[in-house]
Amino acid sequence: MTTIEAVDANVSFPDLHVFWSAGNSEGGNGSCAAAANGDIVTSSYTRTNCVDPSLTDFADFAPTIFLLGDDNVDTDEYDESVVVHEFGHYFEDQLSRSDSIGGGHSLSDRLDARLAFSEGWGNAFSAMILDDPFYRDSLGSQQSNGFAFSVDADLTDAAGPRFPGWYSETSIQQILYDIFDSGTGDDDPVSGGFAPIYAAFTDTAFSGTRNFITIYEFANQIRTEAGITASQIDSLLAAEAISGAGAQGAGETNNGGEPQVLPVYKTVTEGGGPVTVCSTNDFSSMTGGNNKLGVFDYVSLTLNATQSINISVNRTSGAASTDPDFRIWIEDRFIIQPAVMNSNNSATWSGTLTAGTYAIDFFDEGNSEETSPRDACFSFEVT
Amino acid sequence: MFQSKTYSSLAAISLIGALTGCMQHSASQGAAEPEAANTAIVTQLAPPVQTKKPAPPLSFSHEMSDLVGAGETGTVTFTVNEGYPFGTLILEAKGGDGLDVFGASVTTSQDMSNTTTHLWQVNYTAVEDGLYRLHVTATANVDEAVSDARAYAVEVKVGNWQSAASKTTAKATMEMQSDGEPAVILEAEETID
Repeated sequence: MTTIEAVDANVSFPDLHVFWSAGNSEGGNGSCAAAANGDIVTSSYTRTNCVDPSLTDFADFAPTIFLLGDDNVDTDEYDESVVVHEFGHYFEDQLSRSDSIGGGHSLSDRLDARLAFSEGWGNAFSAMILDDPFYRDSLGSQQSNGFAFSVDADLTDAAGPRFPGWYSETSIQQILYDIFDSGTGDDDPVSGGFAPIYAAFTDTAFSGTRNFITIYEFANQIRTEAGITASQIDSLLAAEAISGAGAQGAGETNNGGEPQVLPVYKTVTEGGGPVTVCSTNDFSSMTGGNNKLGVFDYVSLTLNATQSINISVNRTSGAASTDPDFRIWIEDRFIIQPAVMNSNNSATWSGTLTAGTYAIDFFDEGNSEETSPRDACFSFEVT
Repeated sequence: MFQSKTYSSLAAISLIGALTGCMQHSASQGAAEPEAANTAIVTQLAPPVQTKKPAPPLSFSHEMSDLVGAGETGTVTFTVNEGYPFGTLILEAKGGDGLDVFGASVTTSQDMSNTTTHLWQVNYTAVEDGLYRLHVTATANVDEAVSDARAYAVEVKVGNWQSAASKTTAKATMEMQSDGEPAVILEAEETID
């Protein structure tokens, strides 16, 4: 907290609940009831109504960190990297904005870009706050084994297993830490410290963006902060095979091995004809499949005036039976009424939207819920 | 024919691992509030998600042999799945208090180049009936840059474990304190040199 207060003496931290017990172990289904029994899945950050189940509005749910305490298997109460990583999620959720879709992840996963940014931030934030680039997580018999890596090291390789790119938390942690670090051992052209990073996260232009929070949105924002030049950021991005421009990563050429994930945002206009959107489970891994690259396809819709529109989605190729769906976002809220109507291989929405840009995440529920993983593409049209 | 879909299930979509307590409060249950700028539509704050700590691409599952008695040998067969293209997987087992793991299989090294699924049998025995824990650790040596490891534990039942377990139930009694907090009071002796 002192690192944060050093750049913002007036910062106000909302209450945070931290649940640790020697009985906290992996397992459970993520419910409050399971957590009360010590089955917390893993160490994590979330917002819950576990303490006050009478709360019903997500906005009122309490910021909460769960920490493992399973002796000889996995304890985290002394793993500062883990504790601060989760505090980093609290920071972005409470003092800025996170669009993370959560779930399991590893350094070698190709992730949904929103999750990749959030987790890369968690890792980098831990290193910044602890002033130590090494992330350490002890585990095993007598906590004698562990999981460790340096966020300052170039851990990615175009040949794998950790591929560089906008979908990699490994790439993003290094970019963010390189913006921060300075002095002996700093091997990059930026020595910005925490101030510009904090300024970028807390700028309402960032937290109020009508795009998703990804490395592109962050890079777009931090280029404007004091002490940072755009060319410095470009060089850090290029070193991690990120070439997309602007807040939507226009012109990105790194497809992670799956051509259909580009462009990062499919731009659709009212009356401008259909664009192709796809959903795939190709990047499913040991850490799960519903939050990986390609499950969600991003669409950007800009309206110049308030108008009634119809959105129609229809399967064009791939798996014969699909369950397409999409959400229309206004910053961190998405439209629930009028509801998306969907059926096998198609989905529609009709309503009136005010002028502005809307980020839409399209997906096939077979992939997002991992009930029936499949690859398919669809036409997405606004009329 | 179209089918209307509420977002009660969508709360869970993105969000595997989202707390069940949270998912009970779907968008259609009043959590939503009208967005001032778009009076014709209703929006909802994104449901909470569970942002988990980083983990290596390693997972465990296991099968126990039939219940064995004290002094007999039982077997746990572990299946370790990993997501590495190459490297060496080192598997180590250790018994908790009272449980002995033995044999060549206590530590094993397996090549990750040819398969991502590794079967591993661990033998155990205990002198007394009871409920024990068997701890295992998997370490993936892929390159010098990252040390990947993950641990796992299974409960091992030996003999008349229920009876043995009941004998070890804590004898301490919870007492309500003046401030309303329940606590177990233990005898303590302090020596100051």
